[in-house]
Amino acid sequence: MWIYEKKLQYPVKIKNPNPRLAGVIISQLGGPDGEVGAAMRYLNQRYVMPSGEAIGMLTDIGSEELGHAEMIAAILYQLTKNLTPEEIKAAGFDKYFVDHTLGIYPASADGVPFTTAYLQSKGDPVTDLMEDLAAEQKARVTYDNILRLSDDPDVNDVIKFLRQREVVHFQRFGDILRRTQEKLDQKNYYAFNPSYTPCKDRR
Amino acid sequence: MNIFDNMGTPNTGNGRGGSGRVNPMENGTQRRITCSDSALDKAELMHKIQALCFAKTETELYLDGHPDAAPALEYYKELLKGVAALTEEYEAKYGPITAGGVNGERWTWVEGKWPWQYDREEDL
Repeated sequence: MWIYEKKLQYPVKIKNPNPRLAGVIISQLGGPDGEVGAAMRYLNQRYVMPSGEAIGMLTDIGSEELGHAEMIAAILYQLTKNLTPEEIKAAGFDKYFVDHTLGIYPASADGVPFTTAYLQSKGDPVTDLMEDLAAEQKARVTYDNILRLSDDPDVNDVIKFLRQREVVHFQRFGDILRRTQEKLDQKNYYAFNPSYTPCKDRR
Repeated sequence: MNIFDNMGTPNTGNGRGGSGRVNPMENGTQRRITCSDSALDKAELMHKIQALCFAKTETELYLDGHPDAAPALEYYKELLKGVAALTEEYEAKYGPITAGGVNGERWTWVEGKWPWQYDREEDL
């Protein structure tokens, strides 16, 4: 069950609209390695994890990613405030505007709507945690690329915070992967999937 | 360890002296935003809450991976006290942070700005 707090995890206070930059940053909302995908991945993988530590970590990081999705939406909202049609056309933002006006719609920078196909929930803890490590690296690279494309200090301050969170999440998933592997059979590493035990007595 | 150590303050230009905040503009001139001291207090209080809540989140993730780390748990309990105190102060003065923080005669949850509604002309 989720509680909502009427505050951002980190402040977003952008003074200058920039629809071209918004058109790039939107990938961190609805793109292949964005925050919505991260939240959906972790919050759905958690159900069959074999330990409370793994469930706790996926729940807590997944919930934090929802907060990050909100921050990206706040960036997009502030970057596109009060734009005239001329400003929209000049920035190449017209293709998004025609379908969404200045509304927030999770999609990638080249207009592909968000899809669950961006993530996997394989039902095997080692597999899922490996995916999570990769996901945090992909998100980190996406933030690196945004920093290469942006020279707005208000935006970059927030992007650097979000980028650092990806690095920390990578460390945290590494902790859980190590703990999970230590509990598996050392002699036959992939012998069984602790999240799938069909021989259990169902009575 | 004081949980308020290493917490910066929001960039408020010339600080709390007086009721104005100087906002530099791109062409080098400066514009003074007149605002009440309570707007400044609200911004600074929210900044402190965000900083403390961030430390709380970080500690939660660490404890998920290291549930037996007793010093981390002690630190977490101190953070909880700090967050509760700042939240109580903020909600009494400026409105609810969760719906359960509503008090008084009006449903203030639907009043005021939402977190993404920053306006450079109006807000700190």
